[in-house]
Amino acid sequence: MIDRRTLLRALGAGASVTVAGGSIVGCTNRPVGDERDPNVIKLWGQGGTNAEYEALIIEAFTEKNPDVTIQVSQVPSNGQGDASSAITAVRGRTGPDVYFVDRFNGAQFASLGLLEPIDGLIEEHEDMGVEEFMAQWIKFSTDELFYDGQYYGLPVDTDTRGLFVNKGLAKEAGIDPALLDPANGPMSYDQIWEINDQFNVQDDRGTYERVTWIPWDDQASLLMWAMANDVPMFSNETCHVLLDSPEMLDVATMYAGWIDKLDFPRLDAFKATYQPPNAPPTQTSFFSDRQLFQITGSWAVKGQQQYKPDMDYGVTYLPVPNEGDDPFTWAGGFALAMPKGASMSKASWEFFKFYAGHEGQKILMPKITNIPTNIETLNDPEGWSPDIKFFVELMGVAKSRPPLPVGTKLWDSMFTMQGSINAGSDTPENLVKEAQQYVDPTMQQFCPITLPEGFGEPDPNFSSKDAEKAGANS
Amino acid sequence: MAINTLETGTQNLGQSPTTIKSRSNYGRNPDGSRQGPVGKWVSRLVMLVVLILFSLPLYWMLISALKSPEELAQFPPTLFPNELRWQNFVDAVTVMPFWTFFRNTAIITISVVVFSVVSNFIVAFGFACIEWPGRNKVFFVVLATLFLPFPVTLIPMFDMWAGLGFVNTWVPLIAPALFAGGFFTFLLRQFMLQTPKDMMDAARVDGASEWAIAWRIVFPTARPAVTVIAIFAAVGTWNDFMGPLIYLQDESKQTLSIGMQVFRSVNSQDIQFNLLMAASFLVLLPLVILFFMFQRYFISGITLGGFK
Amino acid sequence: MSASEAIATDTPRAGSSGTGPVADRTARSGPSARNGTGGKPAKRKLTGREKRNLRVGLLFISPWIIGVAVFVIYPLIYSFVISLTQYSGMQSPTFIGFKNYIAAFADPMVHTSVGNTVYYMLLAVPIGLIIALLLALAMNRNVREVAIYRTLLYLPSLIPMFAMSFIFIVFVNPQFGIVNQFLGLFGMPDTNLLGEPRYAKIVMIVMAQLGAGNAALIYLAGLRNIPETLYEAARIDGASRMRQFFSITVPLLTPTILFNLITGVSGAMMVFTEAFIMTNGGPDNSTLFYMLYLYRNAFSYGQLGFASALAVLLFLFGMLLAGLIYWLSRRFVNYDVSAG
Repeated sequence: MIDRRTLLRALGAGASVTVAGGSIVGCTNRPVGDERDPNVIKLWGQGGTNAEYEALIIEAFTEKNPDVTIQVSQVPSNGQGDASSAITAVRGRTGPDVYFVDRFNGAQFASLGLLEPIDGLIEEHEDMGVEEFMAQWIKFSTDELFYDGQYYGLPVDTDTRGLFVNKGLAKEAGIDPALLDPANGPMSYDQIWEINDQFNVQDDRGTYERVTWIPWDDQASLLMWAMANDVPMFSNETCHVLLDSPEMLDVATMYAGWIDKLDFPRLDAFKATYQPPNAPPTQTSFFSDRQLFQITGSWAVKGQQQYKPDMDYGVTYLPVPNEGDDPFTWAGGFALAMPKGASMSKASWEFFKFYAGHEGQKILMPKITNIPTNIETLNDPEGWSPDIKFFVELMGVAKSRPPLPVGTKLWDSMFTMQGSINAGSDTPENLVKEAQQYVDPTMQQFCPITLPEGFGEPDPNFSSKDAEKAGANS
Repeated sequence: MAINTLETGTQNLGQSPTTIKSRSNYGRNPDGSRQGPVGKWVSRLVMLVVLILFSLPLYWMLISALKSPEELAQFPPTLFPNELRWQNFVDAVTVMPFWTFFRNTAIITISVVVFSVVSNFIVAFGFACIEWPGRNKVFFVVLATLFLPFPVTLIPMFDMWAGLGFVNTWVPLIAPALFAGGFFTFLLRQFMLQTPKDMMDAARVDGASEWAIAWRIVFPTARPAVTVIAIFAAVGTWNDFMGPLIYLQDESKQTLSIGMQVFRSVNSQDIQFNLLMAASFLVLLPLVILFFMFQRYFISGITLGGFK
Repeated sequence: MSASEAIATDTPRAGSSGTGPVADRTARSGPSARNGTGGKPAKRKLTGREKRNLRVGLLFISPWIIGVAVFVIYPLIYSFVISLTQYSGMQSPTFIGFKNYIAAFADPMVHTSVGNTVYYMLLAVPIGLIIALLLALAMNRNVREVAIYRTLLYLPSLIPMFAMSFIFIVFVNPQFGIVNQFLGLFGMPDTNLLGEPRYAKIVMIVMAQLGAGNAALIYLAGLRNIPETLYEAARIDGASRMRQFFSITVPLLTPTILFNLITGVSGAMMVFTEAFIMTNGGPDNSTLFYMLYLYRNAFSYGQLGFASALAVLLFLFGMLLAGLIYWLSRRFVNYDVSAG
């Protein structure tokens, strides 16, 4: 008779053999050379209107390298951290050579074994060390691509968030312009609430006709408010995520108070009314003079110019907990990576470097009104649009999300918590515990792990001097 | 409203179900009208409301496909477009490689339909027309597979096709049709149980092979059911979302459903809903035509009978 | 089982042309007899003809046998094996025993998603069964315009779920959505139905009813197989239409109802696309269905081992339901007069 232990062991052995067999078949690198032309590069690129600007980079590159062909495809993604296309393609050995990814997913994709480290390519093709090479990009952005001692891609753009103000509405409502002037520093939460009480209009059925702000809309989220309040998310010492910390509970409780005050269902209905899901981009509650403040990022400057060029708007700092606090924002962005099975040819490395380097970024950034991560491009007067000067200066204070292998799960858990608070379905006490319980066990699979020194904090390399220099550009 | 429909509906349920021929006279029940003229008009009114409800999505799809983006954003919405923008259809097929997707989808669909019909017919014949010991027990396994949730097979199947090197080809989408499936086999088998035994037995006495009996005697009589499974297979394949999503990457091989998904996600910043609806309508059109062509078989081709 | 019994059970229509229900009932005494004797006769030595039939029969169903082996049994085993590992799909798996199962039982999201799926199933399946039956009754009416009924009631079933979801997002819009304008007549304030945990699932359940055409076709087939003679007899006895419906139509439709129940339940277990497109599981996870959570684990979090454990659990649950439905069918399903 077989006892349980033997059975388990046998099953385990069977499991490893079967699956390992599967993964050998599924994941061998594609042959380079005979079967694949190293000069044909398959790119899974950017979507939407940005694809046009990407095409400019490709054009510039192929002009210099006429023997290289770039094949672009746009791959559908189903949201934050969705790697299904990449996972299936890589396993099917039909993945791209170069893959444009949300940088926040870098560590996670690397931890899944989805990406190839690029350290080898740097050592082979560059005459400098890996660290020295990577130092050409802003530190936080390369940190996000660092996992288990290696780099898994090159950063492309970054972005910061600000408070867009509909100045026409503000004037009409008699709001003190000094409050809205970035020269006077950020507003405090209390000041926002004062404006809120003065500005919001509801009809007799409770339906909102105009609103001040929506603390979960667009780029605003519970996750953002947690970062604004210096809530720690991960401990390098214990290798645990810290979603149930007292600090997190405080923020969740504060946010729950905001939701109570704002009457979530009414405000949600307002948003769905004036900015329905399939509305054209010109139809937003902000553009249609129904919302005073919109929290969004530098890329929205382009949208503003494109869709509502005549609007009298300004941008100021995001609100901060207390009057006199330092300004706050956070930065994200995208990167180029090479998935498993990529050709890793010299040509693809050259393209990789061109796209994410000075030349590529200089073509792209002014068009998409985002911020270069390449330091040379940042210091180049033509490296970015002068209209986003405010956002570039914000880089000096910008935080970032912890680049964890459970990044997507952490993100999802914060948005789950936000949704539950919005719906009033549970108390913040229970919700923070649930979030912790949801993310931490998965995190433990990857421990021990150490995030780069100073993760999530403003980039020390991006000194105020850089900001000044950058500011001097425009 | 519900009761009304019930009452008026039950009076002429079915007619004598005995021969295959008589089944095709659907809706012409000789002793039909026992309802007074007033009752008939009341029930027609109720039907009208129901029909409007069921036609709304299609109607809305069509008018949205014909509106300009500005009119689409208008509030309150117009129930009929102020100006019919047929240009939207032209734009929808040029903004993505619509005809490539269309051709790919058509090739996959036709292959799946042909293979499904052949394989399911052969298997259903084996279950319905040959009396072998234990066949009812085995048939129970067929029914059990109807319960198998596809996610269970998703990951292993992908690994298998990846191992065989068939990812980014149409093989994983077409090949399974060669092997018959629970639902179609079931429908066909139930229908084929009605084939008059004596005809088959006579052929057997004359020395015809089972293969010949299957194709010469049973297949012609089973045509309505075959048509139904062909149409179900066509609709399922035409609208399939998960399969192409997982197995196809190259745009040149992509199908309509995912082509539209790309269209949506690529334009997520400024999604053009009117074009999306125009494209959706074009995707739907072949199915609607197919439905109209074979509508009569839909009624006569499905038989369930006892579950055994 | 004897050959003659098999003929009796499997060829109910043979030779029963024009016979009334009584004759039918005699011809169909097969199933209960068969069930009673169980597998006993199978042990009897097979005759030569039976042997030949077995060979030929197996040959004919061989495509299905291969299909089941490759597309059902192999994946089941493979899923089970993977479910015992920690596996991203990219690296070699690590055997971790039943930890994924333990984690699944402890995971609050699994609880939420099971709750949502069961809720959806308990509402969508019975409502779907009734709506589809009503549609079938309408499609079976003896009026000149019946072809229009059939067409218009079935057409929504052809619309891809993808497109339907988009249409519905607009239908339920608080301001210009038709649904809200209608509810507004009853004094309901403007509400973002998809943004409220209470309503989001309901919207999807309602939306699913537009696809009732397929089940309705199956019902229609069942309806048309009920011998008219039964209704004639009932009318002579003076039974009202309601009475006829509940004493003749419903009992004789039970095999059809069972079939639609099975497809409905298995469809509800796998509800995915609507939630994926319309709400992505929100608001407050109220539309996080089991399948969506499974997909998320497999492809967003790269936890194939855990996702496989969820798949295996879903399979077990499905088998349990199948057993339950089978048991119910033995008790309530009437095979006797269901022609066909």
